[in-house]
Amino acid sequence: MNRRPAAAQPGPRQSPSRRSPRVSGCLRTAPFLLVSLLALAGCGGGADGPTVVAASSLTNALPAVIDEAEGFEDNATLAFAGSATIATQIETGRSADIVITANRATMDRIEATGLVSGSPVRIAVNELIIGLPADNPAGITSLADLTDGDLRLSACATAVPCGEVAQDVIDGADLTVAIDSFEPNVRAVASRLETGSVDAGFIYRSDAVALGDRIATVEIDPGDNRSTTYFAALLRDAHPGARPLFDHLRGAEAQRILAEWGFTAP
Amino acid sequence: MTGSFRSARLTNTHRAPRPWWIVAPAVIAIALLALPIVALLWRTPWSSLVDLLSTNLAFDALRVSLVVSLVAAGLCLVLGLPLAWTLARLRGWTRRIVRSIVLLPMVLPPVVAGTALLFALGPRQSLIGPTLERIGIVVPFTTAGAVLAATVVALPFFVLAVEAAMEENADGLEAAAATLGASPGAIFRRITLPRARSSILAGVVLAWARALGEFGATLTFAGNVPGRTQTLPLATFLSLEAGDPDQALALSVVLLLVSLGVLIGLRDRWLLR
Repeated sequence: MNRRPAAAQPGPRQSPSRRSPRVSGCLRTAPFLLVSLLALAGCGGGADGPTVVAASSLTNALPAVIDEAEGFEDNATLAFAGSATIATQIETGRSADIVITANRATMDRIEATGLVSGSPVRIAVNELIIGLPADNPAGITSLADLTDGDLRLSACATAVPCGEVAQDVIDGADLTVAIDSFEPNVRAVASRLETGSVDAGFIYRSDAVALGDRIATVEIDPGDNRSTTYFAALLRDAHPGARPLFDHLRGAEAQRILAEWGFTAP
Repeated sequence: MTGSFRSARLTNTHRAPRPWWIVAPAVIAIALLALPIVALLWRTPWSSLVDLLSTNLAFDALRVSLVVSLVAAGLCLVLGLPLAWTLARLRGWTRRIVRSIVLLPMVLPPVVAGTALLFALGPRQSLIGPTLERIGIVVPFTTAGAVLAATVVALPFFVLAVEAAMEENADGLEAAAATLGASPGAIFRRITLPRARSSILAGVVLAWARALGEFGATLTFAGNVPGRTQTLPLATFLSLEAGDPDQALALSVVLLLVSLGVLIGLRDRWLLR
């Protein structure tokens, strides 16, 4: 901006051609602005602790679990995605210190990259439940009610653990249930229920706990229900703070909190 | 075509030095645009491409994509042309308001457009969704919903491409026709439309390309329903999520070929302009 001619210059010099140095001045500052903005973006994130990438279904429970861990409340970075997304991200080079997926198959994909240090451990089990919009407009009371072809139903895509388990439940009960929309993660199914876009959807018990009375639920008979096991893995070259956090995830305190959020012990 | 273009420009810039600080960013820009395409072609499993594309998933996605994008482009033409004509005739604050409404979906992330559609036309908790459903029009999770989502994000591109051509021409041909007794409708059909032909074509293609690539609004509003709303971009995304990058790459190649086909088909009008 200092290239701009001072306002004190005598009048006659202020010809229209004065515009051009000002424009070029702006153009010259643009790259510097851009670079400083990029630097600013790099500073984002803030926390310098370990990064945990976890299954979407842990969105509510995991922060609670980590808040109880001494010294991790502020500096652990948490990111959530569908387990299949997490596996794809790790395969394509996303860096993380701890990874938690909602089933064995997606953890196998991560193990196959050779990036896992030691063996993945089981940390929790989650069951399915039928989620409904809060006022249950279709009057659904059982799993068998979902065979009505006029219903709008949602579940996770079968590549995601919650979708695989839902398919297992449907097949195991020998029912014909036509799922309309296949979502990339369980939170997307939950939001379809919250907004009333569907009549019912397969979600985890933990989602039902987290959503409280914003949705209604129907239990699946224990004989028909299936569950999925959550695996946590510590990755190679992890942040020094990752090991204690990993150990905490397996501990009694973490199990107590996970149970509060609808999970059961592995 | 190329020759005339070059000779016309080179007379001025012949052998003039090209400053490196202009050329270097330009080269970076070209690399930025070309590198992903090169990588895509490099990683594509060409030997199993036919197998990957003969799956139901690929076939359905291609069919849904073509139906949705073509119908959306058609809707853009049918609705957008009158809109552009009207917009070109508005003045003052009404023009500013209507123009902002038209342009907003262009600036908004499509996911936001999809979310907004959900609360406007969704089955419940929405402005007019329940009313629509009572008269038998169901949009979410149907191909109609996917068309609607694609139309909303594509329409601004069409209107913007056509708006200038809908203005009354400065040469006064429209005015002359009016003094000779032509009705406004006749002027529109006989003068404005034929003159705007290339802009309209450009607008349709832009809108169609935007509709073909639509992802966020479709997933949010119309859902991911195989055979009904699962378009090529959705199928690509979910294949990648499912840990099947080969399938995702094969679908990407189809999208790439379709897009290239359009560019080549229009090369005289666009590429070498």
